[in-house]
Amino acid sequence: MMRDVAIIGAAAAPVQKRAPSIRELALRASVDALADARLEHVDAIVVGSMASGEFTGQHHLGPLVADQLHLTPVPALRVEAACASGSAAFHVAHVAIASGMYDSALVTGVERMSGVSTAVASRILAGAADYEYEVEQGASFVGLNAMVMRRYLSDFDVGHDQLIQFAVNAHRNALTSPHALLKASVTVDEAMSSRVVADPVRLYDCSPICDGAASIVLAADEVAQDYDEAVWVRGAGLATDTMSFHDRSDLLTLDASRIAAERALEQAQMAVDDVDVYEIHDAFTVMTPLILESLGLYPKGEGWRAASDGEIALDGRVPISTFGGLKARGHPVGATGMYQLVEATHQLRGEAGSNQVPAAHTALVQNMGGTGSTIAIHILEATR
Amino acid sequence: MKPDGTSVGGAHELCWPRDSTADATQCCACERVHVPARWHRCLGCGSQGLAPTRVELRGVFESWTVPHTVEPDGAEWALGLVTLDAGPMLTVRVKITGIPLSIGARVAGTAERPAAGPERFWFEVLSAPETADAALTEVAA
Repeated sequence: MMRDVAIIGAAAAPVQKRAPSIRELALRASVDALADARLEHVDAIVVGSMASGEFTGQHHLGPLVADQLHLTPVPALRVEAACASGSAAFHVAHVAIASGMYDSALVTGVERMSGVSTAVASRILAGAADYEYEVEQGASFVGLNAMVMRRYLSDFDVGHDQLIQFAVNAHRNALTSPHALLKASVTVDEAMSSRVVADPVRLYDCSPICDGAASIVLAADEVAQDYDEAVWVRGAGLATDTMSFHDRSDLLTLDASRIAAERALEQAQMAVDDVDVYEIHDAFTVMTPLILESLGLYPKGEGWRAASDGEIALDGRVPISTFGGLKARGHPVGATGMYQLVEATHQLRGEAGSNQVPAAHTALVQNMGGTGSTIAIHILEATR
Repeated sequence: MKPDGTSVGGAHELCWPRDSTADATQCCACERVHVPARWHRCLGCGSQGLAPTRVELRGVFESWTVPHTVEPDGAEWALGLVTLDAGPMLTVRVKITGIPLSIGARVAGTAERPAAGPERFWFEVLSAPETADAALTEVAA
């Protein structure tokens, strides 16, 4: 019999262009989350990071965090699932507590990407794709998304300026986000005149390389029931797809996202329309409509309408990127899933300030590794 | 492959046509094109042998982008997606020639396996979509 699990503490460090060290980043978020939970000890620590070794030289993050928190000999380990590493770490901790192995756990997602050049960072990030059959042919992550974007624009007769509105919405929400990196509003015209990175992808279609860390304390129901502000994990879905785009039956379908969502929603006994807040993996503007379609919120080829119709605003039917999303809050890869979960927690506690989605009671968090090869989806529900 | 010769779930071993100039070489099990630097045995048909070092491929252009990484020799090329006539799709390098890149264009290329390292797929555009039939005839001739 699985136990109910809840979030009892959450904190996010400000996303930065250049943080002093991965140690400091992880420690700051972890300490703040433990303080938020009013705990000094947990039964286990799980750290999510995509490529700390390649970016900083530092592997072995589990004991690093445990040591810095003076919590040794607590069990501690690192989980890797490319850009879904944060959510994957959360998933592992959730399963461990639900199974009865532990009563509480600290989950920290951390990445410090600024220690290497953009070219080296691009090469490291490309490792989330199929290295032999995509990267060795010259593909970067931007290049792969560019090919999908060209096909989306062509197949569904969509204008680039319509997709770029997802970026405009993200930047608008980042303006009042306490931890966002890019706190600058942008217009459609400004975004459309930004430089081409990989045709047709322009700079404002992309999320930035940056540093960040976010943490959550999870606890079993017998602990969490004492917390009025506990946010319950009602559903968890993890699914995989082919490593490369070219092995998919359809370039413009994210099957793993659909399957993970179905699993999570079934566990939560909810329909996707029942959700009040959606934090999705908007690493590139073209991914947003593909994800919205995979979740069943829009028919295939019509996800782009979400931005044009204003439905993604904070008071819209499908509020997304409520603190700026990957696009403007920033995308410190292995930490991103944890930022999404922390932001959803703030929404469900009613602590989101100017970024608050009215009457938010449930949230869906969708985090993607690679080009959709790993998808982690969690459904959260407020106590109040 | 297990010691008793039965299949291991999910394993992809390869089957290669004897004619190395065939349109595509692909695995009977997964239908994916490979040029492996190793002996192979196909789970589907039981054939075995050494993969050819160079095969010719033809197909249709699905999408592309001009890459932001450039070869040391300065050769212009784009990153492309091609659906081969034999079925599988590949991520390839497309040489920039006088024919504009467009979805649906006929393309042809090679898969080459170097002495060390992974194979490379180099393609060129044969014709724009509206003249695809003519290009096919030309290739066949």
